[in-house]
Amino acid sequence: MTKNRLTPVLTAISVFPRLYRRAFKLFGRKAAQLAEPINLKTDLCLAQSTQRDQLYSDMALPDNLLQAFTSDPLTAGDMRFIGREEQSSRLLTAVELWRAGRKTMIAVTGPQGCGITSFLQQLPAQVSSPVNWHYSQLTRRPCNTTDTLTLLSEVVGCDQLIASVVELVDYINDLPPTVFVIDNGHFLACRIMGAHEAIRVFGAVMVATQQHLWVLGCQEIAWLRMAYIFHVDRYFSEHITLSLFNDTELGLCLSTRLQVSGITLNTGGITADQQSQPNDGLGQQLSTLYRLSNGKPDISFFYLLGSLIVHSESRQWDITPAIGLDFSLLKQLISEELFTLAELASHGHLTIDDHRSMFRCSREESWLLLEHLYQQCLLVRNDNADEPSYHLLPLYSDVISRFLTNANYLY
Amino acid sequence: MPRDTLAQLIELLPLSRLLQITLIIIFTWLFLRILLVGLQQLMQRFPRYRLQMGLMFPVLRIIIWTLITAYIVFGVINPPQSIVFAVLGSLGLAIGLAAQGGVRNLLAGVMMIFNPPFRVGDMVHFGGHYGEVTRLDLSVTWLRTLDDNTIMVPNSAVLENAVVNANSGELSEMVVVNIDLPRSIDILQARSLAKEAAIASPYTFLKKPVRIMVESRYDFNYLLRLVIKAYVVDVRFEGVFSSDITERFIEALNAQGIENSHTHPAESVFID
Repeated sequence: MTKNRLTPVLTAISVFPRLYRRAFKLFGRKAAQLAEPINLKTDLCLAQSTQRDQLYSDMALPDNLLQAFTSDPLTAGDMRFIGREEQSSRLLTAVELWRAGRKTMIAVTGPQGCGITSFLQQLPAQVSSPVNWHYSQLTRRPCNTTDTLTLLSEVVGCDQLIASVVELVDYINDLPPTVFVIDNGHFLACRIMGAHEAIRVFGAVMVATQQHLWVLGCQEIAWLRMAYIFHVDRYFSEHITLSLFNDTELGLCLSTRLQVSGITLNTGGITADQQSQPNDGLGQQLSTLYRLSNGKPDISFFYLLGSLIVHSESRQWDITPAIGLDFSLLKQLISEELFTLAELASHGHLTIDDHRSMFRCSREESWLLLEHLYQQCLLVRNDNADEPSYHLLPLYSDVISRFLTNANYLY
Repeated sequence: MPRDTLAQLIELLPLSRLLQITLIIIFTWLFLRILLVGLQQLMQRFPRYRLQMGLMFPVLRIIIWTLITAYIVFGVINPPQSIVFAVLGSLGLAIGLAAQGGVRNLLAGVMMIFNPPFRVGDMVHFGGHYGEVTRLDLSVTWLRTLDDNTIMVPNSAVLENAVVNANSGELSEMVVVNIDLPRSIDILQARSLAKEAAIASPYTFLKKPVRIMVESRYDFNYLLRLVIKAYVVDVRFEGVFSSDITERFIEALNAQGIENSHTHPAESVFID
């Protein structure tokens, strides 16, 4: 009788540690001793380019491997460019329609690091018959009409100074039909007072010169911002969205690059007969790599390269389980810092002056805030221009964006 | 007769049973505390859904206490029916006579839990006060005003007055900024600057539209009132958002030299 009465109590007691562990896992706390040991790399600076180079140099990774896994955009015909068949087909159809006389403007959008530049650069190799092709990248943000005129003159390859919008439209309309591809369209998403006129002029010139085909490559968040503010989506007849890779595409991407590097991974017990691909050893770690990177190529390269080891005797390459990075630092940021990260995610790049006008604070406050985030290795500082500009560390852009969206700072 | 009642009571509530009841109450209270802490942790982890989660606790609390009370009465004490009816009758009469206001608040609280005019985290005009709902109790509602004062409003106010909910369970909320300008001002330019000021603010929720309205007004002189209606990304930033738009707009007016255009001292820029 006593035993029967005690049974539910004992069951409850035995279940409690499991519930406790699950509950704490859900709430984001580590239950002392009961939780599974979590191994995360806490130093976020590991992904900075200088530290990465140092790490790869310490690991003695060969140059051909590093070149195969570079995050730089892929040029036309590069065999490392994989997937995107549906999007390519839509783009080519739109080009053909334009050639047939239909006025067309195309937007190619996607999250940072999904390969918009590589995708746009494949276009000339894919078009069946020759076409005038002009690719350009925006490198700065137009802040007034004069800026826009200068920027657009550069985009269309005009050397002379054009003083008015009408003159520029006439000049562009006199050019032979051309495909103008503008990359880094996120520079047009501007939330600074006074800049809206500049963006409107930019759009108006594109709309008024549709005998040419305008193709705008733009990061997704910047595109959404422009759609909310200027309703740009109404003017683009074709909107092609690139997403991050799914697990199959990521596997293909990684194995293609390994193939290009000439490295074959140890298959870890899979016999040669069972292998369908030269790098089947990768398959065992693919789900971990996909989970850690969310299908974003550059960070998956980082995790993959960091988990490669070479056996000194057999000279065979092996892959160890990838260790994730600890992003709990983001939870400690204050709202000003989170808003700054959100604006960086939508604008791409911000100078100290941009930040100052956006947040209405002193230059010193802006500098302090941006430098602090840079020192935390969440940002990259570009010192090449006249004024240093900051952008999100590309490898972390997806993690940061998802965190900001969940915290309701980004939408 | 009183002796019999006492004996019956002692028979119904011996020391062991009282101890059992006390333990049940303590465990329930502890469980609710853990539930509250857990929900707060979840709200911190998923801030986007904090309003929906905030709504759960008051409902869960009343359900749990009702179940526990029923369990204590019918499962632990298990009194004869005659006593139950006698106690219920006496309680009803006593409560009805002695605590009309309290019961009214309590009933309003129950009504608000099952048919909520607002939830924790909403910005409301309630009982003559405006602020964020920070806690919903059975008889009172706690508001935090924009001046960071905490106000306790009896729930019965919901039966007597209208309740204005600014965000109705959403995180974004419309904020209205009124700016009075001299009538001589260039309306088109002022509207354009006001819109740009609203869009440029990092706190603006751009998914929803920004509207600028113009009204005529008289305050010692004929004025134009510019009404800027924009959504703030999160109700927590309402105060700073409103101030940010006003600052940007005034700065833009100053930069355009518009504030110098009026000649009459009364024709200055007024901000509501």
